[in-house]
Amino acid sequence: MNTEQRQNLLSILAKSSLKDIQSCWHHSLDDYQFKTIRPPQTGMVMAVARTETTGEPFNLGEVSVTRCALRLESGETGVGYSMGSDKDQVLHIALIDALAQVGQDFETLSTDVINPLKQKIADRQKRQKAQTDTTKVDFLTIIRGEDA
Amino acid sequence: MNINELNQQESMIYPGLLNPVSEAQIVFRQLLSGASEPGLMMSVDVAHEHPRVLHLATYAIALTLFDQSTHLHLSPSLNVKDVANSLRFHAGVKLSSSIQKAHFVICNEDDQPDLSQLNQGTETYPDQSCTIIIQCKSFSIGPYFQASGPGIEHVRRIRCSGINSTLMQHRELMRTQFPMGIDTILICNSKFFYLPRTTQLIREYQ
Repeated sequence: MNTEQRQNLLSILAKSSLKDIQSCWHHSLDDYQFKTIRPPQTGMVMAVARTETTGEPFNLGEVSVTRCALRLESGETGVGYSMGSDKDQVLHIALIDALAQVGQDFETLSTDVINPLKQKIADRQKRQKAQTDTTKVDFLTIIRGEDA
Repeated sequence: MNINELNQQESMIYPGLLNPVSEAQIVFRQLLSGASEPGLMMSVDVAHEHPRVLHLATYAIALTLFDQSTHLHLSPSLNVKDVANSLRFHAGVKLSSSIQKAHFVICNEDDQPDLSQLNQGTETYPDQSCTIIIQCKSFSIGPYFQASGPGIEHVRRIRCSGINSTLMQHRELMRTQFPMGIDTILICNSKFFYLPRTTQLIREYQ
């Protein structure tokens, strides 16, 4: 797993709920021996967004973020970050991240967990977009005046 | 850096305080007590894994006191990956190679830096001086010292293998520069002595 693949994996896991993760990954935390380096903890992070026209960054507001780090018996370190306060979810993310660092396991996790989750996220986004699109209003300027 | 190197480095991060709020409070209380009654042996009562070259109390105190604004200097024998990575990961501390800028210096008793190079603070801000943490081999062998000064009613006797003549000389010199000067924490495993700049040490000769 290279850095880009790891970023991709963590991004997908962070966007997936614990329920979705468990529906694709059929193991429990107890199946593995690991030590928490940083137990799950929840804090606040300032979310920054950009304005539509000029791209100026602005502070959207604070969101709660939960994170944790753990180390497998075999030495791999995994980290989990996610929006919200689900401590179980970040433990799962960190564990999967650590497991994916073992060469051959990454392939299996990719096909069994990451790709299905990616599909789920895409479906969800599509559904959301379709819903939002129904509320879209098109503004048009009616040109007034005789010389138009 | 390839991924294997990265893994090896990362695997050297040790767990931080398991219960950060209460454990940091316990350690901080011990530090306060130690600082207000110099020469009293204090004990860090939290049990956890720590990097091999650091003593238990050193690691616990580091995790309690250090944050993102802390400049830390590690002596050469302690400047190893697992110490640097663990402290950077948990405390976000900045490691500086420059000893003059450091807020804290951690060293072993046989690896003590030139104390005159440390930041002694200024007349207006003596609180900005450096604190040196010295890891000692033993508090039960080595010479005896008599400590006196603020916080000590008469004298307190301490025994420590880590107080050498250079440290004694520097503490003497410091007395003439008061309020500037450096504070010292002597550590042996889970025990420590806090010796502020105001404490006067006299070596006992039998």
